[in-house]
Amino acid sequence: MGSVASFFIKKSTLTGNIFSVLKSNYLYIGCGLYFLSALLNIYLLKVLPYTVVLPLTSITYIWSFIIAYIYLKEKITYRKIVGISFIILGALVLSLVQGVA
Amino acid sequence: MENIINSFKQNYKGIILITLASLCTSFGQMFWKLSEGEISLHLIVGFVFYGIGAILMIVAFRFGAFSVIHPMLCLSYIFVIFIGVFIIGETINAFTVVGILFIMIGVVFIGGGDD
Repeated sequence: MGSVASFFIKKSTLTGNIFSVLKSNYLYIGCGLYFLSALLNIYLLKVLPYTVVLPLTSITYIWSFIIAYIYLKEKITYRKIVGISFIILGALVLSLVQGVA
Repeated sequence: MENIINSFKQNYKGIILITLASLCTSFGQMFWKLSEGEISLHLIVGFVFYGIGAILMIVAFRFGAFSVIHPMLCLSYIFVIFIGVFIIGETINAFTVVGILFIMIGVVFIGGGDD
């Protein structure tokens, strides 16, 4: 369940990024995707606890990092890698809550 | 210490806006949670809060440095604990708190400057 949730959140937050990345040229696509991510978010909240779903939206940052690197050619710094590692660790721990609860 | 005060003076409008944005996002998701996925007043109120949160966030970036404002979005992870426990009545355990702490550390690392 936790992994399915993560997958959906990944999908939903991915669209959130596209919104911010492409808003100048693709505003309407962005808004549509943002709305779609909201719907996925609502579905997730139905099946999983609020205190797990909201913090897991931080997986957005991982996708931002990847998108920024591939499409925007932003450089990867140690700082960013440390930050991403902490977020992944935290998301894993939060997913474990599902297994424990 | 002086640096912190200066940074606050320069960014205080953005900091206030982003705090409000985090709060709106947290409440928006709370109302969605309460709607249980059904079309209801809760669902609509959730959308209103979520929308205001998004707008406040965009505006906040105009009133402060990105490296200061962006990490502050993780304030919502603190709000979520209080709202989750005291309003919704969810039970949280040590895993929840540790997970949230790790995520917050990560967000601060990423957002806290590019130098």
